[in-house]
Formats: sequence, C-alpha cells, structure tokens
Amino acid sequence: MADYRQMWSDLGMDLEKHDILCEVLPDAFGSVYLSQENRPEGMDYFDFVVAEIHGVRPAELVTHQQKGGKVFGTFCVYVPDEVIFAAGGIATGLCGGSQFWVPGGEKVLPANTCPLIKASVGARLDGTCPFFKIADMYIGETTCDGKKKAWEILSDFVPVHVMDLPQMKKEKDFKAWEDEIKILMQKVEEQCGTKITPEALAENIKLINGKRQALARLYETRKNSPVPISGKDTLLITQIAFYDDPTRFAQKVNALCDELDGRIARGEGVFPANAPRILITGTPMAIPNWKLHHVLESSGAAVVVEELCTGVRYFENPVDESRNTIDEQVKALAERYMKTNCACFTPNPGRIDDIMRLIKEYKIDGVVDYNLQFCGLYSTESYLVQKELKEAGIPVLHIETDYSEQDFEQLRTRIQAFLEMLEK
Amino acid sequence: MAEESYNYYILFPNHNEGLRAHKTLKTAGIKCAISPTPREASTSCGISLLIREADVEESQQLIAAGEITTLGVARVAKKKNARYRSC
Repeated sequence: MADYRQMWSDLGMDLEKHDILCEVLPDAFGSVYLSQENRPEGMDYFDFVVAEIHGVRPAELVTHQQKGGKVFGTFCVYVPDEVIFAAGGIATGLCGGSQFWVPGGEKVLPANTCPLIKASVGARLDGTCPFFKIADMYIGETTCDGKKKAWEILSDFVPVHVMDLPQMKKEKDFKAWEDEIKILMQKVEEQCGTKITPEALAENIKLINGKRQALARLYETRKNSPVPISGKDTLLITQIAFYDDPTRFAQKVNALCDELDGRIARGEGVFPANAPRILITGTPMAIPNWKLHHVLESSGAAVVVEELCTGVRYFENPVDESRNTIDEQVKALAERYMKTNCACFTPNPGRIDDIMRLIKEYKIDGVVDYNLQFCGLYSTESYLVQKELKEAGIPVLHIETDYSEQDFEQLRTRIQAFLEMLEK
Repeated sequence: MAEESYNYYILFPNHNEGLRAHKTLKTAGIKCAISPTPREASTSCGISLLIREADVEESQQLIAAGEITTLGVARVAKKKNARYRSC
C-alpha cells in the first residue's frame, strides 16, 4: 500500500475527507467486481488501476508537470485528445461517478442537477479528487445546460476553456466545429509553450486511434455467445480509458483480447449461452458508477454492449490518418467527432440508427434505456428511442436513477421482471 | 451459530512489491486477485493481494523465496448478507 499522502497533501487535497472515500472503495469494488466468477486474467491490470486509482496515475501526471508538461482535465467524448497530446500535454478524465462527491456539488448547484455534474463539482470543491487538483486547465464543452453553468463555477479555481459544440449537424456546423478545434489548438499551444506540427498531430491521431482500435476489438469479442467477458468488466476498462496512458492502455486491452480470443475458440464464457443479451443506451457512467450493470448481471443478464459515452460512442469512427496538413487533419478530426450522436443534437436520428445497428450486431434480446436523474436531454429523447424500439418489437425498459444505493432493490425488482419477460 | 469465514489479504509497502508478488504467485499457479486494501486490514490506500486461506502458507513461502517485502497477511471477516454499496 503505497503512501500517497504527501502527494495528496502537496496537491492541497482534504486528506480527512478523502480518507472516507478510500474506506468505501474496497468494499464496493470487492462486492461488485471481485465477486465475479471466471474473470479473465487480463483484468488484473485494470483491478490494479482501480486499487491505485488516486495514486499511480496522478503520480505520473505530477512527474509530467515537474518536467514542465501540462495536464488538461476533460469531461466529454467530444474533446479531441489528439490535439492535447500533439502539443506535448496529457489529457485526463476527471472524477464524477460517485455518490460520495454529490453533497459537495449540492452546496453550489441546484439539487435538481444531474449527479454527474454535482459529483464533478463536488470532487473539485471538496478537494477529494487528485485529477481535479492536478489539471492545469479544464476543457469543457456545451453539451448541456448544467455543464455550461458548472464551468463558470469551476473557473473560479482553475482556467477553463469551453468548446462550443454545435447542436445541429448542418454543413456550417461541421465548419464551426473545425474552428473550435483550431481555437483549442491555440489554447493548448499557449499553455504548453509549443507549436503543434502536422507530424506531431499525425502521430497522436494514430496514438488515439490505437486506443480506439483496442476497444473496438474488445467490444467485438462481446458479439460471441457465450460472451467471454462481463459487461461490468468491459465498463470498467472503458472508464479507465479516459485516465490511463493511451499506449499502455491499448497494450493491456490487446493482451486481454488475445486471452478472450482463446476463450471464444474454446466456447468459454462468463454467463450461460442462454443469458438474456442486453444493450444499455443513454447517459455516461463515470467511474465508479457500476450500479446498473451490477443489478443486471447479478440478476442473470449479460450486458453485451453500451450505446453510451462510456461505450461505443467513445471509440467508434477512427480519425482518417491519411491527411498531412494541419487544416486537413483538423477537418478529419471534426468529421470524426461530429459523427458521435449525443442527445444534445437536434434532430438526433443517428443515435437511434446506432441503437438499431447494435441490436443486430450484438444479437440483443432487450434494451435498457437509462438516464441519470435530471438529465433533460436523454430523458426527453427517451420518448423517441422507446417509440422506435417498440415499433420494431424490441423489448425496452426505461430506467432513471442516480448514484445512491437507495433504489437498488427497487431497480432489481423491475429488472428481474423485465428479464423474466425475455426468457428464452 | 454459523461459522465465521474470512478473506486473506497480503499487504505491501508499495505497489511494486505487490506486483512482484502477484507475478510470483500467478507463475506458481496460485489463485490471487489484486484488490484495493480493505480498511479493516490497513488505513493505507493501495493494492493488496486477495488469496485463499488454503494458499496462505505457500504464498508466504514463495514471497519469502522471491525476497519480496510485505507488511504481512491480514485476515478480514467476510461480510454477511453484504448489500450493494456505492462509493
């Protein structure tokens, strides 16, 4: 057990409060993750990352800063990490998936704000997340009203650069997003004191594509029956993708996939072949939000794909690597990121197309349409998602929840009834 | 009265020793899982190795032979009727 207290203290964290979080994590992780049967050996690395979640990676980021490097905290899959790495910076996700941080956020935000935003703001205000304390700059975006106002609060503490994400997909919007990426480049260059070259950008487009390819390979294994890895484990890996060193992460995921290929060849899985195959669609699940997957998989279902930001939205559509000028590369980045189908766009038929495609590719028996409480965008779009699924005769269950434990048994009852309906 | 059952955690001064031990035990075919250290075992955060009771002695021998530094083995009672806990 490494002692990171000195680092946390140097970062100005509230050690006493943070200690409460340290106390809860082992029980939560043990009951949700280590209780699973027949986990792949390759999960060892990801278990290690969780066990040292506020230690090893933050220490690497601090070392990067001590060498003069900059760290950029991000919240969303629309922020192009390629640009940050090309300038010599490091992009890292920021904490936001724990109930532990919610009361801290409620001190300054209305209670009817989504738990993801409350937890993020709470983690920063309470000083209980090293990533928030380390980041030299936060990169926000305009994907929802709650976040837009949260940036203004957070900018009292750390410089925040907000990317203005278009809300439609007209030709002019693609151009506007290109311009936003160029503005981000300037900001990042100023922070890092470097100039992004076409060579550096090309190298880092490949780097981030490498991470995407590894995740795509991992998700591809889940198309098999029996499925060789649980949804919970895949969710954890996807959550870690936002924080980890991209090269190391891709190596570890590919090594795991080699093991999963062996399982597939042997017909070995983690659930019976007749377990109901579930797609989850909706709002992101930041680490350590494992609640819905845990309810589903401890009730006999297999979660085999997520149409979430912590799912296929994160890695589908690689960036075109053939461009060799900054203008063309930025255009390729804009084209790639604008293919992501978030509910902040209107209209957003691409998301429903994605869901219908994934249902076929992953041989889905039922869909759980999930949103965090007070997420107006996804809860409203739910009407259209459910309408389309019902018309296609695909069973769907809508779940709205938060990070707390209070509705766990109620969720279990509803989910068990849904699964009974799907029994093969 | 139901008999108490326990989890066994090997504790380490840092993650490098923990990862060395993990590799050593895996190579020897001993089942072990990397776990966050439970509060009942230590007040420090970070990794420990969760092993089976039957493997405690052999694990300790292998770790000693590999000159890996540990902070001992902690025995922690398994929670009965553990319900879901968010963190």
